[in-house]
Amino acid sequence: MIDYLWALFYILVFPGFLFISTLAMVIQWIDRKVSARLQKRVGPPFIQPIADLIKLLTKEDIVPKKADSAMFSALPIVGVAAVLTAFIYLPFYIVDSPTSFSIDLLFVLYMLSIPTLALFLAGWTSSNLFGQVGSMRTITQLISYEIPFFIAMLAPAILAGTWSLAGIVEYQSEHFWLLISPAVLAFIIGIIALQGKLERLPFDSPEAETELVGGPLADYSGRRYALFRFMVDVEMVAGAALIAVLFLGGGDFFVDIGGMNWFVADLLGFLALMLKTLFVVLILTVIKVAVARFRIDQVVKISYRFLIPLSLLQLFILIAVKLWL
Amino acid sequence: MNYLLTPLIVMGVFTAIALLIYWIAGRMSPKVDQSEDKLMAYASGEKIPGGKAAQTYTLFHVAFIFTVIHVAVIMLALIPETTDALLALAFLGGLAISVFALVTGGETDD
Repeated sequence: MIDYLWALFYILVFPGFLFISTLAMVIQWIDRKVSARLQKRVGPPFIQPIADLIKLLTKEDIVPKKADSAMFSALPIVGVAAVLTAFIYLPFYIVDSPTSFSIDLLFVLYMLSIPTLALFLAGWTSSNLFGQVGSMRTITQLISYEIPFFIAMLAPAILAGTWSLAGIVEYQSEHFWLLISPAVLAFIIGIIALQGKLERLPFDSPEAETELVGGPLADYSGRRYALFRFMVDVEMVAGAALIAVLFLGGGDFFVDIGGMNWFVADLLGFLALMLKTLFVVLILTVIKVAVARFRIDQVVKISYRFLIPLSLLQLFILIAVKLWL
Repeated sequence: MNYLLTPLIVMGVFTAIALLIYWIAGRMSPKVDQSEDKLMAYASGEKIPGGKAAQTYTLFHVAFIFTVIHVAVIMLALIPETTDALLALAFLGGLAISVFALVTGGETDD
């Protein structure tokens, strides 16, 4: 009974729904505030993200006559459920992660693909011209950036010889020097590809407000739009946390926890993971502010001319290192 | 692992939570004015009928590269654990040639 209650607490409260929602709002605020300060603006107050979410949830919610109403309603719900599920399978506890299983890395990667597919279908089924152009750009961007993202995320798995996220974190704590040297390229590719996956500047041509008035979500309003916005916020946190787990040691804080109380060790590990996630988010924010939007054909070229060949090269180096070891 | 924490159950619980938020928000939001103009797809205020959009780049070509590499990467990730990593290097060489052919083969004159 205690086990079931604890599992429910894990899903609903910490690190489940309540915690993820709060973290997504805080990270969104940090992202907006830092962007604003870098552009010499004041930026939003702390409660702005939650105020925006509540306002959108309670606004008039219109389904256009020609849109597929079932898909219109189902897609934001599926997208939100997928990103929340992806997030909960990250290893938050360094002593014994309760959600860990042998191929959880693969599971998280595929769950993080679902929001992009939801966005594509949202635009495609909306019967809106802007939405259709935006959804075609979304799917083009998905197939351009998904591969380098996958290859970059698999690099630590190949080195560690496991597809388990907890296993990779454990390997890093024993071979930290190794993951710094050949995996730096994978880290950089992962950051750029994540920016592409999230459709943030300079890869935001699918929603480009000045051309496509929001792209796939042009006809969305009210609660459906609010859920999509929430989905993107959680996806950013989950993607950043995944990179922190795979490349920055996750919850490992590089101190011997042998004689430490498990609660203190887990608490410190959790704080370390949050700080590393914040670090990744700040890199994404700086890229967003510093680089102007690329055209969609430039986006595709950047992926196939540079990111994919570079990701294959780093894979070649990693396998050679693995052979040498 | 506790069975409540298995992926299917977790996804089910989160779907239920999203549905609950969706339902509560629906109860709180005002009723939609069912006028013709409001239910039209947005087109900058113009009465433009919906239709398929033509692309200026070849989605099929990009999708084909995606399929090839996606499958190859999964295979590659599995090779070092099951057999010799040298095989992975040879496979990677073949993959690099395929990517080069697909990328340069898709270029147009303009």
